[in-house]
Amino acid sequence: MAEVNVMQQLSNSGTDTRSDDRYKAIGLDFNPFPLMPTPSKVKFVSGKDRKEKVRAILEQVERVKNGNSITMGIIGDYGLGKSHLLKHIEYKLSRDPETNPDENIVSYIHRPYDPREKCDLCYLCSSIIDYLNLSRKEDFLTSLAQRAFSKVAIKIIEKKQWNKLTKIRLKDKISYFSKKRTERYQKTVLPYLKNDFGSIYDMEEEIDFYKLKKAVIDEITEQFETKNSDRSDYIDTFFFEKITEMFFEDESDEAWNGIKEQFSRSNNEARKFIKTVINTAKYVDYRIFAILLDEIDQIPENELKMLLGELTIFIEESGEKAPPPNLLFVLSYTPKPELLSPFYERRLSSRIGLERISKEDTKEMIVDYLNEARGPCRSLTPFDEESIVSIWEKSRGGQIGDILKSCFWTIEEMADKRLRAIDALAEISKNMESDSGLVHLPPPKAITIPIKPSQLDRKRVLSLYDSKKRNAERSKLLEDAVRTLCKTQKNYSFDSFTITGVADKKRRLETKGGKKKSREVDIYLTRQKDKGPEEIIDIEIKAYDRYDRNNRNSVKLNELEGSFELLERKLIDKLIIFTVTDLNSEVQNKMREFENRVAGCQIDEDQLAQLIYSTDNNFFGRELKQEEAKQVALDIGLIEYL
Amino acid sequence: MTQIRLSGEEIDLLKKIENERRCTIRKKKEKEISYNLNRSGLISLEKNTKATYVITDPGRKKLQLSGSKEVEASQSIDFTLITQRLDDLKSNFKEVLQGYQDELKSYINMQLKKQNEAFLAIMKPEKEKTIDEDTFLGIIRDEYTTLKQESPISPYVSIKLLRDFVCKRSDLDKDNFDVMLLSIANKDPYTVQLSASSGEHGTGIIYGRSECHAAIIK
Repeated sequence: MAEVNVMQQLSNSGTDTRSDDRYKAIGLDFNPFPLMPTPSKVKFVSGKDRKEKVRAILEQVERVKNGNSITMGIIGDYGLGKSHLLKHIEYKLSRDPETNPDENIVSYIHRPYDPREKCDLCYLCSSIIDYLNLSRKEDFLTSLAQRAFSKVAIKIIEKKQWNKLTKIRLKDKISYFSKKRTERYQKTVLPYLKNDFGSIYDMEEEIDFYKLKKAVIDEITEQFETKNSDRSDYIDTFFFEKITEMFFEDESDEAWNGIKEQFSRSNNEARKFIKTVINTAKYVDYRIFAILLDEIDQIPENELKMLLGELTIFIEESGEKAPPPNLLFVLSYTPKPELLSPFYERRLSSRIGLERISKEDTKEMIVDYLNEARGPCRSLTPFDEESIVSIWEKSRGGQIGDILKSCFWTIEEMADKRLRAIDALAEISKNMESDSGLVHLPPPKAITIPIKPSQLDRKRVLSLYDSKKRNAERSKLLEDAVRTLCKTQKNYSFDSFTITGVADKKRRLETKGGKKKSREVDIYLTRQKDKGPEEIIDIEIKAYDRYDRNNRNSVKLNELEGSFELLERKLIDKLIIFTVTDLNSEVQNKMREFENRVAGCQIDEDQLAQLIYSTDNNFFGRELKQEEAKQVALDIGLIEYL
Repeated sequence: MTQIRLSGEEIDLLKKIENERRCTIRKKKEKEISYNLNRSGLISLEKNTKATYVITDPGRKKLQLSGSKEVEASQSIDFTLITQRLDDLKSNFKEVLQGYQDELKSYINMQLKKQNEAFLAIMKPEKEKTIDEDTFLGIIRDEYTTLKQESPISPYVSIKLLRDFVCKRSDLDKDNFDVMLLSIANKDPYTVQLSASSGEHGTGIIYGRSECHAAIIK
């Protein structure tokens, strides 16, 4: 019933987020071309020239993976696709399975300049961390600490030095118990930690985290340089200790404030901080730490010189002052000779120049954009050779921004008036000439991207999901998507309820007298029904391998032990098991015990693709709106269970 | 026959010479009267004498033709002669003056020409060289390839530098270079890609609404 009402609401709301029939007549689902110069389809680059440039950059990325830090420059005039190229590199490194995105950290800073702030290394550090928190949908430094703790814990357990991890109790001193404990660690704790570094929080019974923290600091101090900040393998003990404090939820905010205050003191401190972060990332097996700085030419000249000076100290190309080996640094700027003096120029390992694109590349680019709004094929329809040459000529010989804008308006004219492309172009020119001073605005539907992924996007999203090797990584991907979806609908009144709150991250609820001190909730959501009391809903994400033929990955009862305990103890009001695989019979039996307080939301391949696609900027191209989020929640069946 | 107006005295003298067959004219008379008669070829000096004149055939004819009318006129009014003289003088003066004027003109022209040649030899620019677009494009591509290696904004190169090198190599002047580059950029903006970039004002090329300081040549 609730579903019907929501459907009615949606149909009455007038916001049709699905594809527009106007475009069907010309063989498209929607207008795939962007009107605004902001890069939107960063999932691909088109044309021989740009593909060549991406290949060159990825070659450098391989060098970084092999331990050679790289600093690159991307130079090009306005409208030639510098930002698009950088965003595409970000996409490749963070989303494309080909580049093993789980091994990379990418921070893209668009125009690192804020007129209210001094643009120095301190500001840059702050921007990098802010961006990482936002793009990774997690507290980046906390996640770094978790990884470091897990890695050291695994190392210690493998060396059977369990006493470095546990509180020494009398019974542990007896060799029998000692042996038992070691075996237990090896059998239970180790596989969990290896599968999911986040699962370390579940081991508060087994592991003394403060002892582990000391072990982590000792390990880092032993492995890295902690005195000479010029050295490439430098880790600052103050900053690292603060990062380890971020592991503890109640100390996290204070630790971050301490870090921020310290690196804001001077550029020297900021340099120490960024080196610490990059080297810690390297320690926890991130092979690339990429910092992409777009439009640096927008920084005022004096501040830019200062910033470049600071960066130069940071990125000295060789010797003891070499930057951390996993650092990829990319700057983009317009061609201005005074911008980078030979001094800085020399420090760029390589430089990529962007030029206007040829007719052939224009053709290829248009086909690629068209394919986003139809099934993949090589046809130019609804364009033809003549119209593409005309568009290319009008774009001052291959100015990408102008080509895309022309294509956008041509599609609009064709959809509206059923014209041939060349006639639509003539119509646009005529309108421009007889311009009465009125600004041309596209119809509102023209800039609506359908929330259902195209065939290509569906393939991309599923490929990313399937590339995740561990269940924990897949679950993280799905968890981020569901959390984003729920957060977008916060305070939105559905027919019978309102989502009043969604936690930013996993939450631990204390279970006094339970088997464990606390239990983790994947998505902690509060809901209010008909002005009744606020209810707590736990959405547990179980995202296993879709291709497991032996059904080994069906959701098992022991994996939901904690959630059911929370339910039994009435610490949560409802449990929703969100999964891509089946629930085994034990789980189903257990669910019956709780009747309507437990629901299983199993999504299929299409729903999985739609969920991840629409909640990820890199695929969808922009933030999800409330109405759209509701539509997705309805499509994947989540609303039904809320 | 030349229309010569004779004074009364001159007619008298002509008659006297006709009558006496020959006539010796005193110096004074010779100067005042016989001048026109002699000049007009109406009388001529007798052979081997200094002042004895004989009448000539034209003189005789003139005497017959003029008759009494001229005699009367010469007797009645003297200022005709004066007018005649003045006209003659005027005519002579004009002729002389014209001569001087022509001479002066030719002298000035000659001098100016000499000076001009000397001036042009120093100041006159060499004949402006023009080349066709294909040759120009060949040269500019060549220079661009060289400059690109060193350009801090490669693949863009400074238009100022490109212009200097191309002009030096092809003997083109700055304006011609700019005109040719703009002409190609307008026709084929892919081959010549102009970028605003940055540089000293006046050293770039005005393209559209802005001054471009860098270029890519494909």
